[in-house]
Amino acid sequence: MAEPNDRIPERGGANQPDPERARAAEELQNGLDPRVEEAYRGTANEDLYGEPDDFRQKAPVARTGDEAPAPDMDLPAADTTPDEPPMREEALELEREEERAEPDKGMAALLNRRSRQGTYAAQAAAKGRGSKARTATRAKATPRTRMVPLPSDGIVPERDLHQTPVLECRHLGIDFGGLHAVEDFNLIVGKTEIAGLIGPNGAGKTTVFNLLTKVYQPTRGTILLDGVDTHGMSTPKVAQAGIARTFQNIRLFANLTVEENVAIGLHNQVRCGMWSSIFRLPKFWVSEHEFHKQALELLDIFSMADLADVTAGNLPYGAQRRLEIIRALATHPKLLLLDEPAAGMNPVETEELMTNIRKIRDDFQIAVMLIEHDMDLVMNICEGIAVLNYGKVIAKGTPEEIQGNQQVIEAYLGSSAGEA
Amino acid sequence: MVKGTTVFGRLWKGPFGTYLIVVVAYAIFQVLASAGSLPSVIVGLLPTICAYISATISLNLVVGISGELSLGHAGFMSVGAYTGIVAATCYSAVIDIPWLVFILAMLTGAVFAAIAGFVVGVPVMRLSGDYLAIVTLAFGEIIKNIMNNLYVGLDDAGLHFSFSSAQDLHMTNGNIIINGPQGAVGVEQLSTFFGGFILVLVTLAVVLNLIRSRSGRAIMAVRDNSIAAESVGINTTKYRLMAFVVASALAGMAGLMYAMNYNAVVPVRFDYNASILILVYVVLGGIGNIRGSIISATVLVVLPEVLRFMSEYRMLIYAIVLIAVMVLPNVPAVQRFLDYIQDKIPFFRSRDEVPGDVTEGAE
Repeated sequence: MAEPNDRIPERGGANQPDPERARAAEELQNGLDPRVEEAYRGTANEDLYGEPDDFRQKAPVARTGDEAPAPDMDLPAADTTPDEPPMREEALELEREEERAEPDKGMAALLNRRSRQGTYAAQAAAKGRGSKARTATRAKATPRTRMVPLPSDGIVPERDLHQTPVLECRHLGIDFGGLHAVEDFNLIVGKTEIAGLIGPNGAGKTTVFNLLTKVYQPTRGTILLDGVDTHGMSTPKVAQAGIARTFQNIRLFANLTVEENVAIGLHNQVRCGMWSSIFRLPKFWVSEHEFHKQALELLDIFSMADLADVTAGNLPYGAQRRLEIIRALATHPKLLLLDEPAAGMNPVETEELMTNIRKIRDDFQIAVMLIEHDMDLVMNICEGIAVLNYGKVIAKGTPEEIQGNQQVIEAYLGSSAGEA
Repeated sequence: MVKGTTVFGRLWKGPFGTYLIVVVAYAIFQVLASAGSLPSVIVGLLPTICAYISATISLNLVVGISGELSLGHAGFMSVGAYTGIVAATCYSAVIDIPWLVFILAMLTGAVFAAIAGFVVGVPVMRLSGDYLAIVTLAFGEIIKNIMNNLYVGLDDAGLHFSFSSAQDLHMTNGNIIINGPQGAVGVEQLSTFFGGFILVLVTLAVVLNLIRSRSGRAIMAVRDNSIAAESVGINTTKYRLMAFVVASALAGMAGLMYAMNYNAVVPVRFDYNASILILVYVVLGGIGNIRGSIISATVLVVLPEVLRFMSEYRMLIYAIVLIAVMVLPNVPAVQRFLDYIQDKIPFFRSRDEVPGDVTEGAE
């Protein structure tokens, strides 16, 4: 992850108490996220407020989030490309600048601004906020609503910044009876990110996977897969749309051979209807050849091609886990969900797995999201990590940030850990 | 790891072996029948055996391959039988060639049985396990009762249907084809051993080809793990329904083969007991084992006839045989004996063995 603070020139003395700024912040309290205000006061990362054009360009990554942020959460940079001039400015300053530069702007912009001012004035008047003097000034100087980019709680790798995130969860939640198993789950996964989802036992990690794959229908919230809402889709439809998964307790087709397992994963990639199969029409032979070829290619990734004819249930445990990943890959996913891929693997196999997960990401250019208790693996290969506890995201960030996060340590070790 | 020993050995393990068994068995029975070495009862029973083999294979598609316990299979046989008989009567008025009439009637019966399978399958496939079994049982009974009240007649004006009585058909001339509880009367006995043999081959081809294809793999995937099947994008309902409908169509053909071996067929023939009987054949032959279905259906259809000399004790012996077949393979001594045979004769060795050493799974 980029460290935006290094690159952002300090401007306007953000941390100095500026009366005008404080007043503006007070106004902003009116309906805006408290965090925005916090940021506005200069206590949070300045980088939140990019220049508007810049912000719009990066719209997909900079999203709103209204959950409580982790104290040291790294908020995303609206622009982290080093070549570009640092065009970010603190919103208020920008506004002031715009005011000064008004004659340069087009008529449309002017009109637009005026209409915003009108709204602002009406609001201010209705709610009785702002001093009389200010109102008077505004009336004279035709004040405008201050539009600020909402900060996002999402993080993506720098290289995925200009692409639609493969997964966006907004306020995702599910209740089982009175229990909020997952609540207000917000997450963005970049196009080629290796993301980690960790948390203590029973935190709701697998439930999140089940929500993403629609094994459970979410009670609340939205899931966007590569920008497409998966609302109303069934599990097979979501799989066809591009989410593949493995299971915590291995779910192979144990009575079938390794190759057949992969061929079943290829079900929607190679087509052949029932009649072609029954009457052994030419289409059948073509499709079977394709199944065989693609299955062996996929098995080769994990060098399992020589096991193609073995019954899946007879494979050693580690090989079964690998086969499950291959089967998931066979569906040509955009996002691969791995539920404890290293469970039951020895250190050597885990090492191999890490290499393979990176290889899958690089070769197929897909995102991988994994649940794992093996912290070595998670800290090693995950680029962004979300920590879940009691169905809520308590922290998000890079491995380093997560390791140092007090809330995460408390979630894992209990609150007394800090005192000890 | 044991490789397929010879080319023949490998072929034998595949579908080819199954076809070969059927062809050889047909040849033997045919020779025996023409030489007069078979009792006349058995000779008359040959088409029935073929019908039961087909029904068993088709039920195995549902129970063994698709993994659903269906207890209404005889219902689809009766749909095929009665629609086929009506169709045969209509066709024979136009066509003079009996075998062509028979084939067309078969296809008609299959189509109607498939429709019945679809209509029953759509609601039934919302269920699974025991619930599915009970609902298929209920549908089987519903079909039987519909057939019990069905009157069909054919005269110059065409087909007449009624659900109340033969008088309701309002026919002056022509003849009644299906007469309610008395069933189909005056059926042309078009079933032959050769026809049955072809039916078994067709059933085998359909089922084996379906199993060894994309659709078949999907069906087996749903059976083995429906959650995993859904997670790779397989529409589970579609493939469960596909297996059910194909099995129904094949059962319809088997039903017609069975019915056309007799002069008259009453609907009670296709009741709950008939469904259970076919299920017994499937279970004894091995769930999912097509070759086993053929053998068990043959043996268990012939057995009561062979035991006829024991008069009232024959069903007792029949029951004991059933129990023995189910229990003996689980007796350690018998298992050791079978292992010994497998060791000595490479021909019987199982297809694949565990490669390398299996590490214990930490679950």
